[in-house]
Amino acid sequence: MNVREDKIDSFALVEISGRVNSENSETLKSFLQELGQRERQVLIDCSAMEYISSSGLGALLILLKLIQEKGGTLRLFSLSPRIAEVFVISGFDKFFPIFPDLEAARIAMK
Amino acid sequence: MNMDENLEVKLPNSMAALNSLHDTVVQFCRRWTIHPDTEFKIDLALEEVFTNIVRYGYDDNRPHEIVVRLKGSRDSVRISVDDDGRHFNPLLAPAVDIHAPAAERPIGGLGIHLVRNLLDQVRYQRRPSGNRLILIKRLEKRGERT
Repeated sequence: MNVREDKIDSFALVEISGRVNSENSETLKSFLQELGQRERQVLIDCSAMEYISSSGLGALLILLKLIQEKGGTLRLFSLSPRIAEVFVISGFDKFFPIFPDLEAARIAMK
Repeated sequence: MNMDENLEVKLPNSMAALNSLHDTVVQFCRRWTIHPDTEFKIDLALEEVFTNIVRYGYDDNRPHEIVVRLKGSRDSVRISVDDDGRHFNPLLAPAVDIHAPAAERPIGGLGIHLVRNLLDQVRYQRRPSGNRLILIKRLEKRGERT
């Protein structure tokens, strides 16, 4: 797993790539907790995410809760069909706004 | 079906063994030319089962062995996971409310929900030496088999 952060306009743009599993999800959780404390608007690029298990979903949920508590916005984009299915099975698609690509997610932010 | 098309792997109760578990699933699925979508589901379900055992299965700090067996047939994959931890039937865990809003969703507890929904059958057997979970995945995308 790799995590990379950029800025795009006033948004934090975070790319999570590779395999997010129980062995590395603590690293992701620490990163997202810190991110959630300092940012209000976050876009997550999932285009290179190959895999995510429940521990990774838990890390994303922590971030969502932090962002929602301060009235911010969190959007995910470019989920592969397999990853999208995991979100649906988990019910996470109901509260994570999911967009087809960066442009769609950015426009919706405005 | 040849016996050598079955796979058995003995893993330590450590998260560091997750990569070996993943490698085993990949090796098995390549050998059986199982569709990548199905491989993804088996991989994910097995991680959830394995991490539940590692996290909650043992009351001591001693090393333990978790035995995973994968067996293919014409139309399904049968996996058994044996551990010598304390008796625990994960199928009795309370159901996850997937309609609850984010604020009411607990951070954990999703694992067994994913296992049930990614696979076709999950059975628990309590054994004198510990637990056995049997997982069945039907091979729907049969055209992929060669």
